[in-house]
Amino acid sequence: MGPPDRRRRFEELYTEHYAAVATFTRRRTGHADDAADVIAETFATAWRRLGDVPSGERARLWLYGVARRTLANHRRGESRRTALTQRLGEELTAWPGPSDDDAPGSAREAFLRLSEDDREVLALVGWEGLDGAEVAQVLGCSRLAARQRLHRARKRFAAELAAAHVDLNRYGGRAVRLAKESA
Amino acid sequence: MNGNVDEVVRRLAPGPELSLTPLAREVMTEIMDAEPAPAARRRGMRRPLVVLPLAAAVAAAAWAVPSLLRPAPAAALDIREEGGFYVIQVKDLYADADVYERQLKGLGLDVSLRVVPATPSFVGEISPSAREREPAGPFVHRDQINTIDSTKGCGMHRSCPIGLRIAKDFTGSADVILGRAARRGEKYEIIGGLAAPGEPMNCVPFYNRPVSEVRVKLRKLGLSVGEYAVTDRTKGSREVETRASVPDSMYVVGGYLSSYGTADLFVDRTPMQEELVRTLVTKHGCPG
Repeated sequence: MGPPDRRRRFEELYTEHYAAVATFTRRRTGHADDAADVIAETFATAWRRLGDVPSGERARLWLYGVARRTLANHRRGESRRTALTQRLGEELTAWPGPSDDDAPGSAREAFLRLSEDDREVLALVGWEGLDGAEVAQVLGCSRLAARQRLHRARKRFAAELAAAHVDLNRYGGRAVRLAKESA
Repeated sequence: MNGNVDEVVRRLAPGPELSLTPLAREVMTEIMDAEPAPAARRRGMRRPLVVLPLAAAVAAAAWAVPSLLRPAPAAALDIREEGGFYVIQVKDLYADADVYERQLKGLGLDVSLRVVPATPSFVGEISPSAREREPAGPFVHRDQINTIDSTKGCGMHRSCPIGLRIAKDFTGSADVILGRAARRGEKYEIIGGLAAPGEPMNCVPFYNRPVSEVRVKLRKLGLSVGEYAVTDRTKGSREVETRASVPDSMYVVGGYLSSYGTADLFVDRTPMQEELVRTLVTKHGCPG
């Protein structure tokens, strides 16, 4: 892969997956500046390791994996921010954040009471729409481990929801059963 | 399964999806301009070496030097035991990969070593990787295989490995890549940007200089230009073609050592924004 091919490949990768990576990152950071740093660093990593980025849909999972680790290692103010990244941060400030209409506040609070690990797997499924095998790829663990983490997190969330008297029937019977199972 | 709990989570999704804005596209171009991508993966190479953008000057000489001092070492690797670890240094940087592997196999280790040509700032770079396919991320056996880094440090974000430690009871498998200087006719496999610390054009006028001027500077260092990758900044720095020669007046916007004695340059009819040049120069540790 010569330099022109690399640039072309990276442009395709960026164009196709920027929205997903930016959304993934912004939803997990309280500050727009942090989000801009992490997005830029995630794609800079992809550029450096272009030969390592899988093709097709798996590229998105690979990028989520990088973004996840970059988020975990990010400390505010430590990145050398370029003027452009600074402007991207300003642009991301306009993002409206959560809408209160979609779910009751008590459900949100129940979610926040979960451990970070539990929230992470649940969000990968609920927000990014991943299945168990895809979660495993993002987390860098086996499918079995991902399935177990997911199962436990769902059980704990169902229990938290039940404790908060969220009307689980709104969402169907399985959540109620899970809550009972974990009680 | 568990669609209902997932549905609650889905409804908690904090905020709408973002889209690719013109500004985000500019960031893309900036990323590509800031550094060349590493060399393409070679057949059989599990994971290309991560080339960090802020390469510091070479300080890993201790790793490479012994082989230069000893013309015909009996073994390619110098291995001694220290606690629960083998401490390994390469004595012969030009041995076949099989030779290293046999020596490591002799210790009961399933570890391969590949010594590859690296541009100056990456000579001495050591990068272990697990042989099983990893998703992106840190090396999984880092507790059992790690580098011995110079206590002086290399500054910036680089560590300066001077050797390799492998736990005696390591039962997994791993590949280790080590950067060494290139020999005539060799292509580089670990590549830093031409203007990065430790590379030939560090802290000399390079970005936005006319091709003719940079060519003269390179020639003084014994380097010729292999090819020119022509970008077009008016089209988002899209690379339009690769050419053997270009007009002298075109601007240099990047480059890297591609093979022994040869540099490839990124050139454009339009200069880079001064702001970007200042960012790059500062990143490279040069006075602005």
